[in-house]
Amino acid sequence: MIRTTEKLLSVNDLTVHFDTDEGVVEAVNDVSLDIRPGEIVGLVGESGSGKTVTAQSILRLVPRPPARFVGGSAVFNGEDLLTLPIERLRRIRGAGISMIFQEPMTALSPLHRVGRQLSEMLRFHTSLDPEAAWKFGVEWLDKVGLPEPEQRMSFYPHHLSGGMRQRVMIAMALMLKPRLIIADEPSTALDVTVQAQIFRLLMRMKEEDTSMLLITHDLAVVWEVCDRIYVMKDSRLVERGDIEPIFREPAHDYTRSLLRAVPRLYETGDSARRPETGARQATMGRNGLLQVKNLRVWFPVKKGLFARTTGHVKAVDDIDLAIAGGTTVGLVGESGSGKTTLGRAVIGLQAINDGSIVFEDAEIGGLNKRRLKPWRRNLQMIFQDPYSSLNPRMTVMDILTEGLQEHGLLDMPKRDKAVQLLEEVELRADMANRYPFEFSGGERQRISIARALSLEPKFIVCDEAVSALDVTIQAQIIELLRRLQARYGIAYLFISHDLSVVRQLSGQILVMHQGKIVERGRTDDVIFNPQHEYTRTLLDAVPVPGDLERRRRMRTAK
Amino acid sequence: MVDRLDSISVSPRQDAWRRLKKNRPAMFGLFVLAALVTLSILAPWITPYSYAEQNLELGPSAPSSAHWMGSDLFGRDLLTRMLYGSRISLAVGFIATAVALLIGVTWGALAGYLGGRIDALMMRAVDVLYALPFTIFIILLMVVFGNNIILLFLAIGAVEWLTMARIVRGQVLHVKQQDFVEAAVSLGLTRLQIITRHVIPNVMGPVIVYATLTVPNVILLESFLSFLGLGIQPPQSSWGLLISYGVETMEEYPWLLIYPAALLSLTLFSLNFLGDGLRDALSER
Repeated sequence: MIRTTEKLLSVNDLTVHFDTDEGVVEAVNDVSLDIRPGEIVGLVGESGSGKTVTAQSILRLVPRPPARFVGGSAVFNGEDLLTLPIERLRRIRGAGISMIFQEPMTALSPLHRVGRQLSEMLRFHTSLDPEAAWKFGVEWLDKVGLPEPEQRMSFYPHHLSGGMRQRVMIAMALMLKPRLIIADEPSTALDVTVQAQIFRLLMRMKEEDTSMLLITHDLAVVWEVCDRIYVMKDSRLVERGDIEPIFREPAHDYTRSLLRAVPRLYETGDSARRPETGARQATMGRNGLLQVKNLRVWFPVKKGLFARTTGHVKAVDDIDLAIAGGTTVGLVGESGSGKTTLGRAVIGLQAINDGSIVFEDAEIGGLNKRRLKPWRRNLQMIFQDPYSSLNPRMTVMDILTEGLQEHGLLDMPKRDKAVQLLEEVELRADMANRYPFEFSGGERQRISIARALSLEPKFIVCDEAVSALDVTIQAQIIELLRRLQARYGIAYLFISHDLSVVRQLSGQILVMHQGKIVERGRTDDVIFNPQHEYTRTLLDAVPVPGDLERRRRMRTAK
Repeated sequence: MVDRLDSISVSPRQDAWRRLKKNRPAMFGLFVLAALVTLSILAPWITPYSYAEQNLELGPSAPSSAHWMGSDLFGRDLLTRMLYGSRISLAVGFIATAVALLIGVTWGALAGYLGGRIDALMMRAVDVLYALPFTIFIILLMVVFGNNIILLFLAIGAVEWLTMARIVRGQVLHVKQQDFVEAAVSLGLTRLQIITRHVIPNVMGPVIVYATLTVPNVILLESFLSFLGLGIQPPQSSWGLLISYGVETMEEYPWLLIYPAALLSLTLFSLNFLGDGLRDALSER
């Protein structure tokens, strides 16, 4: 490891306030951090901790107003970026310090071809002529591992998958050979396998003495790639230091709770938190609660003027599955594997082409809306995005009691029922009259769970139900789901791309790939003894905090 | 304790109102409109003159203490005619917009939510109606059914709903994809319940903004039709009618054009300011 005392970037006592209608919000308070050449530094914290504002302030990307720099400095190469004239700063942005954003779709302009965006960036910062800039762009797309780089140059961003877009962003960030890269949650929107590739790519930059400030809420990622870590909470730094000592022995309570909340893929101890094994659970229900046979959901691909069907996307292709009452089956796969379609299909939210779905000995596959209605109350869903799953124009009370009213099951005053449901998910009774926008992501997810619970269902599909949440909140929601299962005997189909999360809740795991189940079995069997090649790839990509061997392998990967 | 906390919470509507209140031009617009509506309703008690009775002895007179804004060719008090004209112009503006809103929102929401072939059919119907020259459409209506103010409301509304339907459909397509709609399906709600409870309330923001910008359009349209002699007929008055007479005599009696034109402009400004303010207040945070 290269360790010089020379600092590339040194942020001193940075304080940023936001002037809002409700008063001054202190977003960043007295934050100091240093980055040396060739170093990868992690800045960790939950949403709202101020980590993104800190990063954006370094390049003065926070909108001012409402933001206001109250104090501090950010010295890069002997110049204070906070006070530098804007023309000078513009030259540093991109060439000296470049930024990688979380959402690559919004960071690339949707109106221009990838090639044009790359070459324009080059021509702004260098003296390359258009042709040379184009060539250089192709070269870099190749370097970041985009297949067929020459053709991709003429693609628009929406033609590319999320992973590919992120690579284009990374190529843009790297090609000017910046001294420092600020990466804000660069892999959060991506599948684990893509995430692993992206980080392998970023690690290569380290060899060329490029530094990186990695902003993330994911401690597992920090463990695998970073040299040092800063932990932020409520706008202040609470802990800093080298990775290995901090992971071994965190000094601050907050860091400790963060570390405890990180789901561990291979952890065997702490059996109290582990679900009962699938085998035992499966024998408890006689025929199983839900049985799916040969399920098929194909989407037609239409082409041409008369929308002729030229082929099918086989989102769900000939799938069998069985879930016993009160148990959890995990469904794992990358985005595009068809797992969400499968989840929607088994509860009748998605029309099926073929196959049978038997719920409590009754065939519900292919029923129309009216005939499905009596079953509806037993089949509920919890969604990934807590911001779009609640109607912003309804009060929490109305949201929670709507289903009951519809089914004529409301046997007490609306308000009492709402309060009862809120207490069930550990929220306060006084939240009933409020509107969704007043709540945090975790609270909204609880409301969403309460709504699903309102009809006392026997089966709930959890579609990436914790993926959008911070780790500590994630752990609480998982705990809540587990408690509700124990109390009411609800069965879950738990859909996620994150194996370590799935493992915490599921007795059995199904691995889905391109519309088919490629592996199924008891959770521990699948995780410790994967049979299928694809399962192995998935498992291999999951970062494991605390695993020294993996950390070394990742950090020396070529 | 519970009740105290409840009282702090604000609904999205209250929040929008709070933001609108901070917008000076919008509040100015709202004030002017409210004042105009009040004055036009109270017209009989405000002026001692009648809007129809002629006073040929007086003839066209310049503004004076007896006639604040002068009188027209037939000696009728201009202020009185403007106040009574406001009744018609504002009523046309609001009622025709309401008609457009009702048809447009229903049509657009149904098309957008049901989707597929029904959507294609409904929107093609809109396209076809768009292609009809609306002036000829209204002229035909007026010729066939005669000059009738109710018909005028309906005719203008029937033209203006087309754009409203397109806007609503576009918004619905976006709202439809939100998870809460899916959640409503899984709670067992019917399509109609989902459209009325979950979809339409969430598309009303842009629709209200568009509606405030439709009102001036409609007022202008009425002025235009009256100008052509197809709308309101004397001795009734409307802003459009007053302006069209004002134009004829503007060289000798400029006040007959200036006052009604100024009032129309003021109203249009107010509505536009209010529309802009609403757009800012209702945009999502």
